Order: sequence, then C-alpha cells, then structure tokens
Amino acid sequence: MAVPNLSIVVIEDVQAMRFHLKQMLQEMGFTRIQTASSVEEAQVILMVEVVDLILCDWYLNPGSGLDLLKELRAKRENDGTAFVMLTAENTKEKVVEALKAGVDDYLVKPIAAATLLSKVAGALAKRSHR
Amino acid sequence: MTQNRQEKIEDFVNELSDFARNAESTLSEVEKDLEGNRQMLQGFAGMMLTIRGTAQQLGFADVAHIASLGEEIAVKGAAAESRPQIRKCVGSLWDVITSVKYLIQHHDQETGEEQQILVNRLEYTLKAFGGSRAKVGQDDIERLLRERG
Repeated sequence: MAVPNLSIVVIEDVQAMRFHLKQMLQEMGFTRIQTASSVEEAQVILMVEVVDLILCDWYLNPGSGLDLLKELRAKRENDGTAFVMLTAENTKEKVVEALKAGVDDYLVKPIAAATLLSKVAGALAKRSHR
Repeated sequence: MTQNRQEKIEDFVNELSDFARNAESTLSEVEKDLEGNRQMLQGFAGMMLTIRGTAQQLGFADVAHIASLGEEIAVKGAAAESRPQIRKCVGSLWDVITSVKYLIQHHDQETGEEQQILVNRLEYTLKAFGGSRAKVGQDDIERLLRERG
C-alpha cells in the first residue's frame, strides 16, 4: 500500500514511547513525522504548520491531550487535521469527553503496528471528507 | 537505524523507573500533610496511568496490573472524606510504588506468591472503597464512535 506524503505530529511525554511510535510510523512508510513531549512543544509546531494527523497521549504534564484537542477544534483552519488519542486512559467518562471534543479516533494502549496503521488511515480518510 | 529490542526495553525501563521515583516523591509529599495534600494523589494517579500504559505496551503485565490498582486507589484517596481513609489509601500506595519499582527493575523474572498476596490485598482495599471506575475497551469505544457519527 502506498503511503501518502502526510505530516504527522506525535505527542507523548514518555520519551521511549515517543521514539517507539515514531519508529512504528516510519516502518509504515511515513517520513514527515515530528514529535513533541508536551502541549507547549506541540503548540509551537502547530503555530507554523497545519499538519495532517496528530497522534496524542492524554496526560502531558502539564496540560493534556484533551486541552490540545479542544484548542485545535476551536480553529477552522485545523478542520482538515485528524486527531487520534493514543492513551492508556480508558475510563468511560474520559473517553466520552474526548468524543464530545471532536477526536477522530481513540486508541487504548497497548497498540500494535497493524492496528495503528489501520486507525491512522481511517482517521485521515474521515477528515479528508470534511 | 532502528534500536534493537533489548536497548528499547532498557530505555523504557529507565524511563519507567524515573516515573516511579517521581511518584514516590509525590507520595512523600502527601504524607507530610494528608488532608492538605491529598489532591496530589490525582497527580500520583496520572503517573500510575503513564506507567500502566507503557508497561502494557512492553508486555509487562504484572507492572501494568499493580499500576492500575495504584491508579484507582489514588483516585479514591484524592476524593476520600476522612483522614483514616486517606491514610489507608496512602498506605496501600506505598505497597504499590515499592512493587512497581521492583517489578520494573526485575521485569524479566517470574513473580511469586508474595506478589499475588499483595495484589489480593490491593484489590480488597479498592473494593472496600467502591471498586474501579467504569472502563471501556476498544470495542466499546468503536461503538461510541459509530453512535456519535
């Protein structure tokens, strides 16, 4: 399967996990991958670039993936950006909160490469139809 | 160049150990003023969640399970109404953090009877506080996504 030339930002505070996710995406063929360890770092990236996909953890001390999602969805210019939450957070309350805030998909850790690829493709396809 | 598996696991183990040390410091702060600092247990819960997620990704099931119990007990502690309840939670969380730290460092060794006794005790404590919060699996999430449209 040909992988399009999409820009992805991975936001995860655990460095080893951030590296692991980037590696998984690279092995899938994605080449334009940036990483951030915090909401603030992600905001710096997103200030200069509209990206195709954000893959984001929930807890990003300080701040959260949910905060970033709400901020993103508040701006029309980000309507084409797919946002996928990838987190261990699986309380019903939090999942519903993320869905209401406009997350494109919500993945619970652990994540396998095949699942990640399928979910990334799905989220991107969904956003491209908006 | 991709990292080999052993190097990757070492990186994870080192970082998990850092999180565990931070969680331990948080618990020490809570102990200094149980009622005044109990909200810090929310932060502790967040650290346990991070450890759980990372441990799950690595396949460290024992670490993940105990961290999960720690997360839930910490949430109960933060919302506890009395000092004895907070004290009970903090006592259990010391067991959690001690075990988590040990299991991370000895992730390649089999766990024994003592570990199971600890898990039983933690589960009993959590049950006494009303049990875990409602959780959803990936299938439930997909159903919720479909319903949302």
